Parts: sequence; C-alpha cells; structure tokens
Amino acid sequence: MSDLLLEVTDAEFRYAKGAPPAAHHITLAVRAGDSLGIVGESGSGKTTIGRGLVGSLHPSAGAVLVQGRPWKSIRRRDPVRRVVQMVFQDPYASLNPMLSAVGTVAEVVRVWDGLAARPAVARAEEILAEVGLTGEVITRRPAGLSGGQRQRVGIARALACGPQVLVADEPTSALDVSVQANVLNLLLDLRESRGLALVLISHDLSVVDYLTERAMVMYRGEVVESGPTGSLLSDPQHPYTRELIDSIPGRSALPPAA
Amino acid sequence: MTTTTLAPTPAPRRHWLRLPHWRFAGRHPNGALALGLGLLGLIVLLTIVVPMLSPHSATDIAGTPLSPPSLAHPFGTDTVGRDVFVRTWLGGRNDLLMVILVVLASSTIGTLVGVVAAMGSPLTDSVLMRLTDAIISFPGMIIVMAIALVFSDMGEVGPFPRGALPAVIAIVVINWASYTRLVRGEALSMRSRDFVTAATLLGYSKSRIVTRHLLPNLATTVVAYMVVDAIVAVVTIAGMPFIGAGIQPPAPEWGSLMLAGTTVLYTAWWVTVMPGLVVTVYGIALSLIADSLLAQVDGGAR
Repeated sequence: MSDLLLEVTDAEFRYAKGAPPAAHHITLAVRAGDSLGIVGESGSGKTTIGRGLVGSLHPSAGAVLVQGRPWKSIRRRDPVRRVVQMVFQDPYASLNPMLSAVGTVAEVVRVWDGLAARPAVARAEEILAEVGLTGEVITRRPAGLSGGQRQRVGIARALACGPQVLVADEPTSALDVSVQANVLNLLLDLRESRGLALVLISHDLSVVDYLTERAMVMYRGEVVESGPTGSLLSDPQHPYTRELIDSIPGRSALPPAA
Repeated sequence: MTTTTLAPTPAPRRHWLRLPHWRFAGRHPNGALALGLGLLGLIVLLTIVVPMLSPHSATDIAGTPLSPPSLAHPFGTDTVGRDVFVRTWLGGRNDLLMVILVVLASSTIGTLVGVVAAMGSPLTDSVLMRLTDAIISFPGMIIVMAIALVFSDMGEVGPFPRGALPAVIAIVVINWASYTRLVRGEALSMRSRDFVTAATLLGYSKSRIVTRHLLPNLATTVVAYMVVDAIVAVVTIAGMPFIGAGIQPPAPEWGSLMLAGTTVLYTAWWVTVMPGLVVTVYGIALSLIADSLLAQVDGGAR
C-alpha cells in the first residue's frame, strides 16, 4: 500500500456557492512521517486548506483524498476517519466546557475502540500522560486548566483515535510565549515517537521553520511558493515570502539575486 | 546593580458600613441564590404544612366574614368567612403544582424542538421555526381561553383540582415556543464552536453530540429561563380566573383569591393584599435565583 496519506489535487474551496474561492489551485501531498508547514497572513486561505484536509469543508473543484478516498465517501464510523485529526487554534473553545480532561479523551477511546468506561479512562490516562498531563489536573474541566494544559488535552483528544496525520491550525497562537515552546516541543516529540505526519498551519515562519521540513506560502488564496523549509527561508523567490521573512525579528531575507 | 524591593500591598480596609448581609444578598451571586432558594423553600414548606396543620379547611366557614388579620386568622377571613391564610397556602400548592407541570412540559417540548431545528436539515428547521413563529405571534390569551373551554368538562385529576389541567395544557401549547426560540439560537451558535466541530471530525453520532455536548452546555441557560418562566407562569395562572378559566371555585388559587377580594378592596384589603404579598415574595425569590443562574451563564461565557 502506498504511504500517501493525504493528497490534494488542484483543489478550490468556497464557503458558499457563488462566493469567491477562499483558496484555489491547491495541490499537496502528505506521506507518512512528513511535516508540512502552511504559512501566510490572516485571510490568505491557510485555515481553509486545514478545514479541507480534515474534511469539514469539501472542495468545490479538484479533490482531497485520504488514503486514496475522497472525504465525501468516508462515513462517520469509517476507520479512514481516524487517519487525519485536528488540533485547534483556540484551546478553550475546542474543548467541551462540561467535560473533564480525562472525560474528553476517554470519550474518543470509547467511541473508536469500543472500550467500557473503566478501561477507557485507563487508556485516556495513558494518552494524557503521553502529552505531559498526570495527577489531579486531568480530572479538571477546561475552566480549571491553563492555556497550555488545555492545548495538551486538545492534542491528546486528537491522538486518542490513533491518527497518522495531525493537522495543527495555529496551535500556539492563543498561548503565552512561555508556553508556546512547550507545546511545539510536544508536537515535535510526538512526531518522532508516533511517526506522525504533521501539517502545521501558522502565520509565524519561525514556528514553521522549527517544526517542518517542507513549507508552502499562501497569499490571497494561492500557493505562491513551496519547497524545503530551509531553502524557502534562505533563498525566497517570491516577494511575499521575503516580506514574511523580514517580519521575523532579527532576521531578514537577502535581496533577490540581480 | 541595584535591587528594588517592592513594598507589600496593604490589605484593603473593610468599611464599617459594609455589613455581612449586604454582601450576602446583594454582591455575591451565590448569596442571592441562597436567599432566593430559602424564600422559595419557605413558601413550598408553608404550602405543604399549613393546609395539613390548620384547624380550618379551605372551604370551612371559619369566622365572621371579612374579619381583619388576627392571631386566629393571620390573613383575616374572606367575604363568606373562610380563613384566607389556609386558602392562600392551599391555593399556593395548587398554583405551584401547575407551575411545575407547565415549566417542565414547556421546557421539554421546547428544548426538543429547538435542538431538532438547530441540528436538522434546513427544511426541518424552516418548518419547525415557522410553526414556532405562528404560535408566538398568535394572541396567547385567545388560545388559552379556547383550550380551557374545550377541556372544561375535565374534572379533578390526581392532586389537580377541576380546571387545573385544562389551564396547564393551554399554557403549555403557547409556552413551549419561547423555549424553542431560545434553545435553537443557543444550539446554532454552539454548533459552530470548535468543540462541536472536533466532535464531528471524531465521527461522533448526532445523538451523542446533542446529548453529551450540546444539551449539557445548554442546561444552565434553559434552567435560568425555566426559573424566569415560573414567574411568568404563575402570573398567567393567576390571571386565568379573570377570563373565566383556570381552577374552578371553591378550590383556592392565588388569582381567584385576589379576584374575590377586589370587590371589597377598600374595606377588607387583606383578602386581596395577603395572597398578593405571597405572590410577590414568590416572584422575588425566583428573580434572585434566576439572576444568580444568569450570572453564572454570563460568567461561563466570559
């Protein structure tokens, strides 16, 4: 079987029929263990692509395939649904305020692995420990957790159904600077320990540089440049990419070769 | 290098006028909740205990007609000499039973329809909401009178005196729609929140999303509205005797007690004012509870 997990072919995404496309001519592929950064300013269409990758927005043209199958053909309890999961930008809004951390994760285990309540809780505790949450803190509801802890619960929930691709939409932008590094390092560790493919959506090039090997730059709904993250940063070809690099404090792109 | 030491922040001084009970009832939402629950508990207790322990029944001629409040008759007597104190609390029991039934039935039907409208197809939503709009826009009292008349032959049912159940059915028929509006709006806004998106991406069924994710988060809002609705319901029930509907005499009810006293209001104020005061305290108690619950809803949103 091919190790191609996600494939987007010349896709176009619109939020309503007749509305202008939020992203178009999008082509990308994610293989097992890949790490891809999607970078761009607000409104550039990067979150739209993220929604398309996890199947919450269907393309109006082109195709988004998960293990060779279009999202539309994947039913609610189809095992292929486990392949791609999402980590959200706002860790508070992404958690059910009425469920504890362990309850949130145990629910996924119960639904997908069919475990009874007690074994599901035990499994949830293991997954939460994997993201660094143990002890009394896992019995708290989101209101009793810090931003970083909430994001860890969000990551644990995504991990609970055993995904192969994690789509992280600005996973650190709502967090304190001091907590951002912890969450980024956690994602890095999980990539290595679980062999996860990671699609990181961010407006911050330095975060994309830290976590991904390949990156694509979005501008007004289009991919303007893509390639290995290192060469994209050291030798940007598109003026917008250069602008993005210049916006990183203490770093600026070299002027284009004459 | 110089080291700056911050002086410790002095503890705020308590003003001698800030008495504990002010903070209890006015400033702390849980204090207001406790006061509200205490008053409501007292009313409920009296509606149970007074009719059981009183030497007079609600229909006995207990003294001289229109006797003013006294130790023997704390709320005085009415135009035929019945004890207003016993009638007020027995009437309260009838009213509260009706209120409980009205609020539970309305909230259950309204919440169910609201959630189905929010989570169903656009066609389902459209049909249900037009029906809701029709109910809300139709003059409520006309429906209440019509339904009360249709069921006017229904006698006493269980603890409900004659006329009580038709009144309950009539109010529920018009009342559920306001819950539907509230719940549909809340459910629609919640449906677009990330935790519901996450549940959808995780392949949870619609019924799981509704029961585990939407309803628990809607509960505080619905319960707060139920408390407010319990005030409106008692006013509606108490208003029904004025249009010939509701609990039929001689069974007492707050509205009919007050109505009976209007003809002698200037000479025997207690017949109207005493049950009216109890209704007022009931309203204040529920307002305090509702305010506290709504403060919690707002706090949760923040």
